Amino acid sequence: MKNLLKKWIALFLALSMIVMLPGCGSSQAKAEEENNLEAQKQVEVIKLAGGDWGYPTPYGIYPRGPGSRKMALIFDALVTTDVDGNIIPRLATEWQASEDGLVYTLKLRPDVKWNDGEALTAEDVVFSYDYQKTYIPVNAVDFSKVVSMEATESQTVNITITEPDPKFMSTLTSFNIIPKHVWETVIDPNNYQDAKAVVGTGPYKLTDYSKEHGTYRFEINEEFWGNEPKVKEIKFIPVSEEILAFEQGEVDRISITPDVLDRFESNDEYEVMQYVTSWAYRLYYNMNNESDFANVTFRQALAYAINRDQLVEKIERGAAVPGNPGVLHPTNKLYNGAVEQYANDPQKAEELLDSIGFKDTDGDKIRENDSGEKLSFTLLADEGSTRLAELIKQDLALVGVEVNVQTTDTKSRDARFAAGDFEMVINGSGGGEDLSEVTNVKKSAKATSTTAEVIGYNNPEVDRLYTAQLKATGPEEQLKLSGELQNLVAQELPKLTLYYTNTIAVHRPKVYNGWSADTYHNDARINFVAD
Amino acid sequence: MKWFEYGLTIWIIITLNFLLPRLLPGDPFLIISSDSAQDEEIVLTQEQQDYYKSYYGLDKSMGEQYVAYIGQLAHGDLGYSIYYKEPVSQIIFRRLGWTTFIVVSALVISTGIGVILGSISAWYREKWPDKLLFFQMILLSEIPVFLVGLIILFVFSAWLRLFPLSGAMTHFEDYNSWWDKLFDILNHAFLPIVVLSISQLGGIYLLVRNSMTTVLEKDYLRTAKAKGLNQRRIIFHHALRNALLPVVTRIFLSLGALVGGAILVENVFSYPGLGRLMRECIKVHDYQVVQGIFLVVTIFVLLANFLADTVYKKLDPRVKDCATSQGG
Repeated sequence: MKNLLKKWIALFLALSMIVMLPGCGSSQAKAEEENNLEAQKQVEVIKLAGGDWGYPTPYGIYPRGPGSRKMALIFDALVTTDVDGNIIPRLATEWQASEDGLVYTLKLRPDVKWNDGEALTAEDVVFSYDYQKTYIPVNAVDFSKVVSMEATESQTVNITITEPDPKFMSTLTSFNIIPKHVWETVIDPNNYQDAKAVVGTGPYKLTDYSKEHGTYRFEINEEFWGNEPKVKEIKFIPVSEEILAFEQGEVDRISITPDVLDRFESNDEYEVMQYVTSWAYRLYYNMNNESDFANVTFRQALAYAINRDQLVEKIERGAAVPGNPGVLHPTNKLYNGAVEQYANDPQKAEELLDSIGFKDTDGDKIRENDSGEKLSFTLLADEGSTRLAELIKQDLALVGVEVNVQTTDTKSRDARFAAGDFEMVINGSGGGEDLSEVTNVKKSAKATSTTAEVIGYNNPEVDRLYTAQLKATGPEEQLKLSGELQNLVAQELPKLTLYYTNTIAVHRPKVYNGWSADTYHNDARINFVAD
Repeated sequence: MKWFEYGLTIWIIITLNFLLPRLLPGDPFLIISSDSAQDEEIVLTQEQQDYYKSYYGLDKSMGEQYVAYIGQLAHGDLGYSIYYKEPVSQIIFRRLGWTTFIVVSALVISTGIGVILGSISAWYREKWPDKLLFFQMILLSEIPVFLVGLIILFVFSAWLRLFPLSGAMTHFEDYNSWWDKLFDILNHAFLPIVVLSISQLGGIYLLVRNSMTTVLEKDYLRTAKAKGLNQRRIIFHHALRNALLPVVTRIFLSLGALVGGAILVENVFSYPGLGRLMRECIKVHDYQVVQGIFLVVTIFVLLANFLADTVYKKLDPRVKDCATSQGG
């Protein structure tokens, strides 16, 4: 605090010299972090960009943004998945299905304590189930197949389900166990923001939170049952400009856009990590309102006309993966790389348009469809995807399809998209896709982010293949059936994936080098504790 | 009559506050997209969406919601935030202090400096000090406030590192004394206040300059000059009192503009005031909080108007209770 006075004096000096500023030269002060960190096994403090994402309880977090990852530092589920998607233990160490596949018996990890010192028992698990059925947490668990959950012994839970389901255990990965002794008296969990609300069994405990400033401080939970966390304290502080804050050492890791990559790549002080993600921009057609889109040849022509490689180059400067017409991301286990790719070919697009009688008859460079209506559509986009929409407009103008870009704020776009009030729309969202969104198969009770419905598309063969691959008995059969499904979807193009973005993160290895290569999220638990 | 007018204004504003956010297309519970891979969105199931809608009473008809809203307000209850999961009054109350702090500081600073510079300009009208000031002030008032904010942020925080980059205080700090804490808060607020002052300065300067010029041309001042009275005495004793009348009104009325400026400045500096809150809430369509902020801001502006009226009456004896619109 003492040097504040000095700062003020310096300010007045600076003000008086303001005309000479360009001559001063900026000497980038090197980060004055401790040098001996490599010797330390455990890092004392990591600082990350904050912001208010809600009180980190299953009920207090906000549905958007990184609130759920902060909650995951405190709360544990019974099981979780590793990077390959295998179910691995957390609070449950063993699980066994009965012969008919209807009853699962789970053994809890012995000697687990809540961070207030109480012991975890099977009662807590059963309570969590009952409670979360009554009061749905923000990240709802799909309990539709669960008939009952009972504590048979102090550390054993029996779960009865309605029908055999080999994937049942994976529904438990989002089922966070909450302490009965805290929550049993709580009747308005959404509003419950007491210090006791963050009693969990996870590696960290919350020691400071400010909604107004958007700050969190997590400190190591000495009672934690698992591996020793690699960081003792995680602080989230508000930043206005992430790059500046990072360069000044206010935060220890940020995500950057490709334009500033050079600045960090050429400097030894920093380490850059690039991740492929399944977050993608996708183009949807409204086949109910605009019958032209129901024509598969027309959709194929659009796919040939839209230059996805160029979108990646121009908008993401190469830090993205062009969209796969078969929808699944190339890193998906079920990905079929042999589907039709529709490499950019305006001429081919024009041939296809000609073949279905979509021709320009009045010489205005815009084609008319077979009933003489102009091929002119509005493309709805939010602020973030405006440039993308403009490039698509240019691409389609080349083949005689007129596009009018309409930009709204994100929430309005979402609302119009969901209500079917659009002709074409660009939507960006994350999460792995499983193709259920192009089918009319009844969706699971729990929606996922990418199940934005394709409006007006119906293909029984797609539905059949989708259901068949879900019920496949072995991985090989699933791969084969899903491959067929992707082939068909790539032929039919009910929606067009434009590109999947890559995420680039920078950190200072000197401060902390334990960042996971498997997730680009700064605040994901995997960065600080190994499972 | 006056009270009836204020009452009517408040009612109209409450009704608009209620309607406007609801006319926004979009739904706070519908999540089908995210901004980037950094964002993780939890999609609410239909069941959850319905549950939350009834929890917040949004499943009722507009009429019912309106009646409920008015009923709540009558009890001083601003409602419950959808996004922040907290009573709106609590959220606003915590943020209000920060905004009031920078807005009032900026108001005092910009008025003080504006009056002095405006008077100087008027006295030296058409001479070089006036021309120089005039040019500079016009320039300053024409640069958008967020741009001024960004430039100042880059120069003083990022480059010279004299001030913190963001926030209202250092976090997780154990202060040795209240003095340290105060200093820390001032240190954080300094740049936002400077930027906000700059944004207001031009307007006040121009007003004082014009008003002063008109007053200086009045006969009684010509007489004063002719009598050879001291320059400073003429300006600050005789002229300023009369020239300040429109400035007083302006100060109160500029509160609205200042709050508008504060929205931008708070966002540039990540300052945790109402402006930043407003932006967050509009983005997530949190009707309750948006309504609450509008209402609080409206009440403040009305209060400022009321004060302007009162003060004006005190300063200008020509304006009597019955003659309402003469002076303005």
